[in-house]
Amino acid sequence: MLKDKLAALNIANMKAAQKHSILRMAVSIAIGLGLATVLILFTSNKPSESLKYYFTAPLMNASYFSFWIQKAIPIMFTGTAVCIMFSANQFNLGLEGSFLFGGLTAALTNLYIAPNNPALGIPLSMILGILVGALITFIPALLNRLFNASIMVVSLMMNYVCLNFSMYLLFTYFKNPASSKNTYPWAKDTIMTLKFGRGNNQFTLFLSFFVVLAVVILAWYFLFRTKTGYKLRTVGVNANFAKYVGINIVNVAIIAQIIGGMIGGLGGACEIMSNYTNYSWVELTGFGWDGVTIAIFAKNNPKYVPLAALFLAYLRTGAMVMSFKTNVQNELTLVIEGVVILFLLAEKFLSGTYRKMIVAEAEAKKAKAAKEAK
Amino acid sequence: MGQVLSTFARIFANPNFYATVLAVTPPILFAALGCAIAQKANATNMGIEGIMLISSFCGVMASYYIGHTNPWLGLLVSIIVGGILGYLVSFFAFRLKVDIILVGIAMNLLGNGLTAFFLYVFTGDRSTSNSLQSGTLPQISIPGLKDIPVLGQILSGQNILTYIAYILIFVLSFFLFKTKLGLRIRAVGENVNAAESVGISSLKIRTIALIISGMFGGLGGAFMSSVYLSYFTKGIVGGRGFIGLAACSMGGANPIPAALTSILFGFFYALSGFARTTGISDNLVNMWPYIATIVGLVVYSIKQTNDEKKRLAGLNAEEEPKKS
Amino acid sequence: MDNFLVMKDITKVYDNGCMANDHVNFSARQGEIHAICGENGAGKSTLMKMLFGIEQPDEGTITIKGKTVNLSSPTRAIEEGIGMVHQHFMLVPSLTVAENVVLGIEPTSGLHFDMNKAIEMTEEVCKKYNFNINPRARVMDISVGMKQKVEIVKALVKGCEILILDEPTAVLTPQETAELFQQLRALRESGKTIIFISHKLNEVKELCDRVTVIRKGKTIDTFDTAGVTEADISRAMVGVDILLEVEKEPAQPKENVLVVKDLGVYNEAGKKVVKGVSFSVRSGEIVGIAGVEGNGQRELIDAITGLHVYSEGSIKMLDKEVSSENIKGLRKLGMVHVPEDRMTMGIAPKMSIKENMIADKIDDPRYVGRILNKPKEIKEDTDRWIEEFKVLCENGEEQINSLSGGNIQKVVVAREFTSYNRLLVCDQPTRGIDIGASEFIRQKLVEMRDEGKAVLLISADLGEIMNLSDSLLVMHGGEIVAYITDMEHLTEDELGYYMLGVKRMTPEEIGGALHA
Repeated sequence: MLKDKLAALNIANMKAAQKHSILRMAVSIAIGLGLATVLILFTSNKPSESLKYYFTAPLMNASYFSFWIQKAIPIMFTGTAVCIMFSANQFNLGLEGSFLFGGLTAALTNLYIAPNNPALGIPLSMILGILVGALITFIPALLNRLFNASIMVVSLMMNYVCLNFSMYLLFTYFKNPASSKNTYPWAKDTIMTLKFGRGNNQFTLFLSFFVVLAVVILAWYFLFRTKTGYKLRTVGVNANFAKYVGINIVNVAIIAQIIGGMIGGLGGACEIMSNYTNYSWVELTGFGWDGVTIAIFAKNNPKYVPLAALFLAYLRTGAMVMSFKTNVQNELTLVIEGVVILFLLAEKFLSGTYRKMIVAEAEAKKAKAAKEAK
Repeated sequence: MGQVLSTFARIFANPNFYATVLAVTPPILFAALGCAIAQKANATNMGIEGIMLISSFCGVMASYYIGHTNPWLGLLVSIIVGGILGYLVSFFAFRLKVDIILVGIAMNLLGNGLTAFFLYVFTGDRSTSNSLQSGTLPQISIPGLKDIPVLGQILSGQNILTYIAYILIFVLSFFLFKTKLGLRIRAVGENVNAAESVGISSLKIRTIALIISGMFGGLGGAFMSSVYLSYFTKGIVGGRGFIGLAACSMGGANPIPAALTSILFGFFYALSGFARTTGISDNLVNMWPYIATIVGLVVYSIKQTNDEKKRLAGLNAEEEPKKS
Repeated sequence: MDNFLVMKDITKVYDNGCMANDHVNFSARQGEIHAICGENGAGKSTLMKMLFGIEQPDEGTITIKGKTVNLSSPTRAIEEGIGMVHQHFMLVPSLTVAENVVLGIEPTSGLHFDMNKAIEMTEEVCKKYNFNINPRARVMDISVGMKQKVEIVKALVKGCEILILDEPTAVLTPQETAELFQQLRALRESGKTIIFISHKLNEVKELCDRVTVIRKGKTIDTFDTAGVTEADISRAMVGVDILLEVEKEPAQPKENVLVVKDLGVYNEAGKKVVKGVSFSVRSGEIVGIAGVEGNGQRELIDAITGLHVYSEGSIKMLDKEVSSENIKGLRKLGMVHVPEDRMTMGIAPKMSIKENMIADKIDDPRYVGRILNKPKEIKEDTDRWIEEFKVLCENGEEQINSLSGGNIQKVVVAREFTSYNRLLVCDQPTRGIDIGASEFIRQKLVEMRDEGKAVLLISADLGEIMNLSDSLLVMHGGEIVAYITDMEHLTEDELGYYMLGVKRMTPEEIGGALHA
């Protein structure tokens, strides 16, 4: 009897936990958006217009809609990459570098290896981008393996090494002398897009969107349906346990980081080929950090990455349109992200409600059992 | 090659180079010391970058709008704001139980977001607050010292906040290792159960450590906008907070080694500035501080591993004869 | 004073629904050493946690010198004159002895932490109670016995009247134990009340004035130790209901599966803790290892299962040297392992029951194809195991850490027993779980033996190990001191003598453990 009671309590616990996590997410987002609304109301000289753009711009016309999707793509890449690394509990923050170098590699491939030949240039760029991206997250992993150096600190530093090295290459070897910071263009128009219509009604189809969807699906299959993915999650949940059941935890940790870097590099390559006709990145893109945000929102599950990325990109597109239509800065979105992360992850946030939920679930269960008994 | 070497020889023979090293180190040093005290309480304050940004911005705003470009008021406000942000990190990490690294990441997002947002609100500028001057803190010539050749050139005439930075190394060292609160911070950081079991509230101690950590971030932020520049620009901190974090990590979270590492970074910062004038690609030179960090961290990690091995070997050697 | 400390009708229910204390009554006199005895999970630790303010009782009152106290935190407990020496030391390794001793009541002069005063305070207490410690040494550099003294001094310096010691001798050498007892007696003379938690009955008998026995969260009785025998206490602790014999036929051992020869193992601190151990485990038998915790069993098991390197001697699993195989290789050879600490090693808490059950079979072509896993096969088999091992849960998708301890252990056992196995290493397989689950697991062990598996069983539960083992090794001080084959006539007393190192067999007799 005591056993049954315990079991009922456990199940109540689980259901309440699920409900609570959904509630916490909703409340966190509401707090974030509420704060955004307040900030806009107080600082905009045209508050209603600002709010309108902020909340609905991506749906206003085909061009904004395209822009929304375009913004979601790179963070879907990095978000998926972070999901995989964080699933193995590896705090590798080197995705900024991977993404940047993926972009640079793609640019150089299209300029010098396969000029004017997108049919070869696109796949080749992707492959080389993957390789270069993997190399960059592999370095902190390797230094950690060999010398026990902090992955987090080394990968942070790697990002700045990558940035400066890419700028060195750009300014010393590849810059178009007629420009301030651009390479020669590799095509008249972006090579990974198809465009329909004109002006505000121009709809752009990003081929990279299909690439990233494939990556998300593959990443999900990898994590939840392959043995390596399974091992990787096991290492992330309990490394001691993983070791004890015979998993090589060092290899798995390194594999997770290499795969993360591969996706980051691929993301950079796709971004440069979808959005640019020449290479001109002279600062870190920030997409690596965004990946962390996305992975947090998606709870390290690639399945939720598109949703999280579209949500974030929606806010960013709205903020972008708002900032050039009215006088509100689009960095507002960063504030919202920070606030949502803080509340979303706060275990103790709404914990009182959680306890009430457990009790309620247990009561409901009891009532049901009593009814059945009759 | 010979030409490059002689260039470096010229740089290293120039007293101004060393003065520059001392002058560019403080923001990294403040960040490193701030991270060190937090780390001693076993709290990685990765949000230091964001804390520096926000406190720098608030300092400039206060000094312009309230203090009539009085940089001292700006400094004070920066420190207070830094302390408040440190408290927030502690609140989310230890009261609401968010992973502290992720609190740091959120803090950095907030730093970038809030400063850019309000910069525009207040000034209508999208990237700098050139129109809002914060004033600069005074430089100090040290009587007696300033007349000594070379040494005077290097050590005298630095900004007052620079001197404060170097003095704080020893103050923090004293605080951590010679005071009651410092002892408690180290106890909480090393074995939180031990501290709790004698009635020390780890929450309280960590909160104090993070508030102080934030105040160091505030000093670093103030340095950027009232010494390094006299106004605020978007992203003014430029990764110095992260470098400070790395310096702290290489210094094993001890103030003096962390400070020495910060000076090493300062050295490479200064070197990249000087080398730029000699025709070496400045991007290549800009990489040095970061590569130096990675190399330094590797060396530190190797040393750490060896020390631990040696300590255990020593412990063992001590016990063996007893049994025979 | 007879009712110096009174804990009345103390009840504690943990959040997971476990009733750790059920109207427990306990009282202690001033100037006595009072033992609390009980098996693992009986509720001793919970009771003491409430006395030291770490946990708060749901019901009941605590009175000290007739005054009801509210022990809401360790700080409050310390203020009421209670000190506690925890089983796992609560010391800060990089600080000095003196700094550790005064932590929480640090003396200051001006801004300074007054190190000299701290040393003075430490030395004063040491002198008064005759402890010999160097206050300037760093805690990380001193021995375990020393660390324990530091813990006691730490409590004394805060002026404690009641000192709780939680299994203090588990980590000590016999000499250190003797020294500790002497000091505890001296403390009693000076009027301190000492609460001594232990399950080593000889120590209780030797040291303590009275003993309170707790079983399954309830107080059974309080005795004067002078008037009872160890057997009496033991009976009260164990009760009658737990002594159920597992039915089994005599073993029919065949070939050697595991052969350990002249094994020497050093622990992480570099101390030699397993010394020249030799034995073998044959298919179709259960070999038990008994011993007081901390006598090398932990390291021996870690060496055998490939979790810890060994440098001397050899361990051969089916003629393959263990050190040359990784854990995956050992599992391939058929070595499975039920680990002692299921929560930190035995499961991945945030994963499902299904995923936990399949963890060691993830390279098995039955469950993984060339690229993708085979969810159908995994589900079928795990569902079957859940039923076979009577795991109480909604379904296999449920997160494992929502189960009770006994059910978690069943999942661990199910995973290990359903893998390809020739040798089962079972470390405390029934610790801290309910009787039903324990009985089930023991039954399973015998079944496996009858199927011709080799079983190596380590257990602190003497009843269990005497009942299940076909032959028994006893470890003391890192060595095997007895090899017992005549289980029928083995008495608990005799086993106790070997475990405590009072008696030991001849090298020839012990050599019998290694079968050709």
